[in-house]
Amino acid sequence: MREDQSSSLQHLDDAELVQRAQSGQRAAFESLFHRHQDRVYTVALAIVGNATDAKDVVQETFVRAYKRLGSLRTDGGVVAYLCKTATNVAIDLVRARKTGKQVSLDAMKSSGIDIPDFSNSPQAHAELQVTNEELMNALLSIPDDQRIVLVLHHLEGVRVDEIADMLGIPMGTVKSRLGRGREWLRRRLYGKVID
Amino acid sequence: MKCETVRQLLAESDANALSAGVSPEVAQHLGTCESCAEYHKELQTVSAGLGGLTIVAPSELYPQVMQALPAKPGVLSRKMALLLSMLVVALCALIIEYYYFYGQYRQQEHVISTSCVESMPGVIPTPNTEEYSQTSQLTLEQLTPSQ
Repeated sequence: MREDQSSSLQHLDDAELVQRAQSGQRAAFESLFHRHQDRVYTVALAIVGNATDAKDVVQETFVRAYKRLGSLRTDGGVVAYLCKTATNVAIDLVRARKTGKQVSLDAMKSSGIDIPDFSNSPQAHAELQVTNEELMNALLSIPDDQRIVLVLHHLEGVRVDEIADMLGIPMGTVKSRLGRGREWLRRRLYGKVID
Repeated sequence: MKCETVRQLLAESDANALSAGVSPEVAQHLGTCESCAEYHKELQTVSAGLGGLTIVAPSELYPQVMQALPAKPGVLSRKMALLLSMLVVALCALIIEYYYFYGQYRQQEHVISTSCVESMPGVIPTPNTEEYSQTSQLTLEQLTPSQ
């Protein structure tokens, strides 16, 4: 019965799922979760850098979305909303970790680095000839400040000036972090230095 | 243009500029410098790779999130909640204002009425407090029947 309900919801678009979830259909929200969990998890993992914190960020993101279902946009902006929320939660977590401030997320209880499991991830980078695993590992080796800028710009499509506003740093700093981050990735993935 | 300058410009450029097109000066340099052209291509590939990066979420995430969800979703839209809270604040402000100004009005009314009466011809002005209390005490003594 439950599986039937889930499969009948699969063909609906985000807007319809949100409307159904707003009217109290929990299965519709679960469908939204299944549809967007990978994207939200990728953004979270790329920012926080470990699987335990990334899972907590995803949890917090969907809980917030559920609590604000009444205002969740139904015009196709669901993914953007989820990714933006995940980004904010993840950045707060990284900042708290830097300042050593205690945060409420359970993630902070376990400070050990949890290596993410990439075994099911698609190998989509034929041109780069690297797997998602290699690309993510290279990304995780970049310092936090550069990685956050890279993720915001490339994964989420946030403009340079918007990143500057978001992080409260000058545009020049965003550009230089972007440059250093890309250069780091290029060296890691291509294994060479061009003089 | 020097290779170093070109590479810095490429590395720091917007993702769209990196994929869509570079400035004429940079393009001219890329046309003549094989090493920088290769660098440009590699940056483009890294950029495209990042854009399409997807990691499959672990299976334990589903029960974890579903367990954390509240029993019922939030029904009030953010706009409605904001409107309601603004209404409550406005109401509180009105009540405070009413009591504050009403109190001031009453005080002013008292002062005006006292000064009006005192300024009337033939009306003896109110004595100062000390005199007044002495007077009232005398009056009371006088009024008290002597035994």
